[in-house]
Amino acid sequence: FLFPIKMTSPRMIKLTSNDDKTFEVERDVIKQSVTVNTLITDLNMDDEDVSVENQMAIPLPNVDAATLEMVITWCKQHREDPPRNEEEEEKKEKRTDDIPEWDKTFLDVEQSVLFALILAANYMDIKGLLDNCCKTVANMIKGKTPDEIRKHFNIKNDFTPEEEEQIRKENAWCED
Amino acid sequence: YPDVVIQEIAKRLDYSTMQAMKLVNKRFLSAVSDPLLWMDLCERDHRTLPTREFRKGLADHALSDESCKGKLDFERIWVKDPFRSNLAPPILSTLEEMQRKYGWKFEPDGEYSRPHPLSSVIVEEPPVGAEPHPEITRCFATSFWIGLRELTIDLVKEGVPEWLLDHIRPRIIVSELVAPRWDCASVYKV
Repeated sequence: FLFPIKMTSPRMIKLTSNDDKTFEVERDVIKQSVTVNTLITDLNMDDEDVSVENQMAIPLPNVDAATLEMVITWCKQHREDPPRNEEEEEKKEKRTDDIPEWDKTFLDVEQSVLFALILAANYMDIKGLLDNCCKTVANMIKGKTPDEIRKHFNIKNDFTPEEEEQIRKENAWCED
Repeated sequence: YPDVVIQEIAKRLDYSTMQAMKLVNKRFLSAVSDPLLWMDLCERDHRTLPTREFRKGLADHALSDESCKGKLDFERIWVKDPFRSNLAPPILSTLEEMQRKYGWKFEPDGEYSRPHPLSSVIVEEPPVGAEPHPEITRCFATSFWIGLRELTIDLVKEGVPEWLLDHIRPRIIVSELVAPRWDCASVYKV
């Protein structure tokens, strides 16, 4: 028997980064991005009978190629994850000790990369990725003093001592 | 990086680290002070907010009275949850402890023999003669003695904004959850 090839090969979607690189990714993998998924549905791309070569690529003006590649790798790894409901989402946001081992290794990268991923995950609306990236950073600065946080992110203090004092005062309201 | 990156990280931190973030630099300060971030957190953590009408009333009031802020501080609401229905702290295991910790006063009537030297009430754990309740494990119990109980709740300390109390003077409802014992008819008034 001969089956049409279309039936056996998964549907592919094309994504273009802001530096004009195009990636092909399985429809089923990229559905984790709410932004892309909504776009695909709204444009009725699922019904179109076009080969991937002729398909319109979805532009992602906020994401560069290196980041997009990581995003796709993450989505492939997590394609089997059960969908998260809102209640779980709330609970998950509140703890930071539940990052899966694979993600810990995957996210053991330079800070700038991690920040680019957070931005991309936020823009593409990929909850799980956003959550695990933010938790990774949160764990690095948890309990640190302002000065330690500055050192960690390599940022300069642009407050005058008077301004700093003022913020400290405002912060103090909850202490009693 | 835009504020949203800083905010998403902040959302996953404890309050004292969030306060430290405000002192990092101006960018961090503005990102972590954003009312929208705190509104998000209030919603996520199910903080009790005044009704929409009440909030609209606040805004209207602020227009006619300049000394009245009119805007709710969602950061404060997130930390203190001042609009929740029960502002009373939990009942502790002894009256002495509540006197010490909360400054509550329990005074006996001075005439009849009493179950407790401090007061005509005792702490019952678990409540006797009532249907068991998973959340109510302790209660005050009183009988035919007369006595005085003074429980103070400082609304400002609980996070209710002072301007709201001064200018809006909202109606404050004081109520108590009371259950008579199944084997003993009673009348109880607050």
